[in-house]
Amino acid sequence: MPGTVFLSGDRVDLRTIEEEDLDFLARHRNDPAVRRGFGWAEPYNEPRMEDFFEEHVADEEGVNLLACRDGEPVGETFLIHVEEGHGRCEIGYWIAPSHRREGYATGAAELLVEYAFAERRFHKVIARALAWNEGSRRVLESVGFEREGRLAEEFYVDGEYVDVVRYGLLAEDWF
Amino acid sequence: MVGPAFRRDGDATLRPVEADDLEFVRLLRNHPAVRYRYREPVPRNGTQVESEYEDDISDEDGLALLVCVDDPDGPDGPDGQDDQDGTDAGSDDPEPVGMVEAPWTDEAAGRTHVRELVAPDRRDEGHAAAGLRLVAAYLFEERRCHKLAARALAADERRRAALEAVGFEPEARLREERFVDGRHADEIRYGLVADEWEGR
Repeated sequence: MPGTVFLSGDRVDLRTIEEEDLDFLARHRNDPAVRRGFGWAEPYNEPRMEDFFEEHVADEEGVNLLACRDGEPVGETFLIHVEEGHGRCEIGYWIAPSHRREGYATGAAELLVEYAFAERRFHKVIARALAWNEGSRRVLESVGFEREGRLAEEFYVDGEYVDVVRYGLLAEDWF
Repeated sequence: MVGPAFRRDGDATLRPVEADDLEFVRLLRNHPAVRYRYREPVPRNGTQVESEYEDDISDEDGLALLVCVDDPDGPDGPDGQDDQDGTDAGSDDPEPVGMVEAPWTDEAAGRTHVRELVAPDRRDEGHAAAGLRLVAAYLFEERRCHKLAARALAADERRRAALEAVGFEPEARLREERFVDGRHADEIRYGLVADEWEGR
């Protein structure tokens, strides 16, 4: 039973993450096709997923949501690096490999950006994508993010250092 | 009395932060010209600085070092010259002028953020670049870091010059990234990759 719809969109809904969803998250957070996009190199076993749930999802400040299509989970999205004092946060998202190329990432990113600006009063939302991740870069650019620079050899993935493209979106350019 | 020299380059040294240095740390933490460099410019009293010292600075993974310069006019003369007591302890009266910190590290990527802070009354004496050079040498040569990252306000010519003098390259202009002095100010993101570092 998926969680309550928190943000509703045409392509996806973003729902609260419940304990029953941890299997879905663990399956994909361990999948090289998902984690290589983030440079995540640590395995998630059950206790570590529980910790993630307690420390991040269930945290008072945590914003982690399940991207769902017709009530079925297709991916995850979250706010990280929340800096209230500067009015800034970062968005992150992944879509399960079997559900890609359906526009779900764009739908999820749009909902989260709208939430950040319209409900949370953030001044700026940032995002990063590995330079080779053209899918993710296209998503960010179609949502309206502007490229702010390229960070050299920022992550280490598949045996090599990879560049990161850094994006930013200002509230004044969103409304 | 400051701690022992951890790394030295000329008359500049990095030294472990000791309990006796916490008054200096508290000054940096609270001074209006320095505190905006921290994640949040919130007040830190002696008790809070002490618990940061216990929990973060003294933590196994924490990295914070004092930047000191030898004071040739102090009672202890330079190395090889007799101190006031007729011996030569080689201590050269190190005087704290700033700090270098690595507030954030991504071990898997081999990347560390570095931050240098200089006491407001010791600016424009080259201590920022000296501290950055020393901590870069340490992180590249002893800690196998691959990349150092740093940030400076776009309008802060002084800090940008220090970073660029050490070899940091501007990588991105982060628009309206930080709220400082009543407005959202641009920041420059810098990077220094190990194999481009001249001191290597």
